Amino acid sequence: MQTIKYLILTAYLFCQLTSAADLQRASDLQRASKWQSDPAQSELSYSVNFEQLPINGQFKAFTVDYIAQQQLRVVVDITSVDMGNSDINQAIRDVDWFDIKSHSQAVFFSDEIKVVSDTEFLAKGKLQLKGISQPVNVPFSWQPSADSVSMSGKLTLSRSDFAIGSPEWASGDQIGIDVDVSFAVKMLKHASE
Amino acid sequence: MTMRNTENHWGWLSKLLHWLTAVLILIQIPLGFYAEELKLSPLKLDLFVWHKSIGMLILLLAIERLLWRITGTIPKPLDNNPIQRRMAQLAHALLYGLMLALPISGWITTSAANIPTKLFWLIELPAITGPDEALKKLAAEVHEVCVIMLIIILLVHIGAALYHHFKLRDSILKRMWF
Repeated sequence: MQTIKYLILTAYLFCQLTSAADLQRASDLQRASKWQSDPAQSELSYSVNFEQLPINGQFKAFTVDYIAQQQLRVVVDITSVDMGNSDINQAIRDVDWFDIKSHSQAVFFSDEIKVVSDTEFLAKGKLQLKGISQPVNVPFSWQPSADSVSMSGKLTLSRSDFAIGSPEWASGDQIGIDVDVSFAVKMLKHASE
Repeated sequence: MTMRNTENHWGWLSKLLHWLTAVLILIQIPLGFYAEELKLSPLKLDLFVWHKSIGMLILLLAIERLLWRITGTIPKPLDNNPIQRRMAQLAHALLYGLMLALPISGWITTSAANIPTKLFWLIELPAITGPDEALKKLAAEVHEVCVIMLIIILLVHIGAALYHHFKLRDSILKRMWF
């Protein structure tokens, strides 16, 4: 009888331990889960003042890769920039602005992901744009749904930090210095998992 | 001098609006051509803000003048020649048409081009159309054709005034002066 009791207790404890291990493993998996943006359902846009009123632009091609709570990487195809006006689109491709012939890509790479809350995070890292690397913090929210995650956020960049706009535009009177960037990205579980 | 027009005299309001419009148009036309020719620069963008601001002012003045004509009276023409009188009427109608068509086509151009405008850096001009590349091109062409027409008709208008003043020696130009 004593032996049976002991066996049951052992079995019970064993079960508890394995389920705890399972949970731990699941949580590790969640933490290490890899995500990738769905380009068709993702937007990366910005707004900048033009003679004191905002005009909008967007990058139509970009990818976001995210290893949950570990690493965020964003690659933007600068050549896909669109400001909804053919003259402006031509002008911003020039050397004075994005200089897309020499710098067709911008890359953000996080060094660290800070957990703000269950759904709010801060990616601290570096943005390389127009060949200039600057420390940038990207706050983002992470809202899971059934089959995907909505990732969104806003930040303000200074175009002068990246030499966007030649010296004649330095005052910011005609084209603002601060650029409000916002993104709404649909993240899907990485295909390899 | 009265504010209102009479059968033989222009009132001071009509005169004021006429000469104000004249000064603005004489600034506006070269300003538009110059700004258009400039390569992209802060100056170019600033000059276009001025151009749009002055253009909207001309539009308001044209509307005000038309309302003033409709609600009041205008002096009788001095021309005895019926053909000249007709010509003058036609020129005035075209001038009014162009003073409306030019600002409106410009307004459509800037709206369709998706460019926001703050008149005199003070008042936001609402867009009258959404972004539309084809409409922008069309409106810009209309704007260009209209300005060429305006230059021609202004030359006729000014030429006729000077012809009346120096050749016919009548009071047509003096009548518009204060």
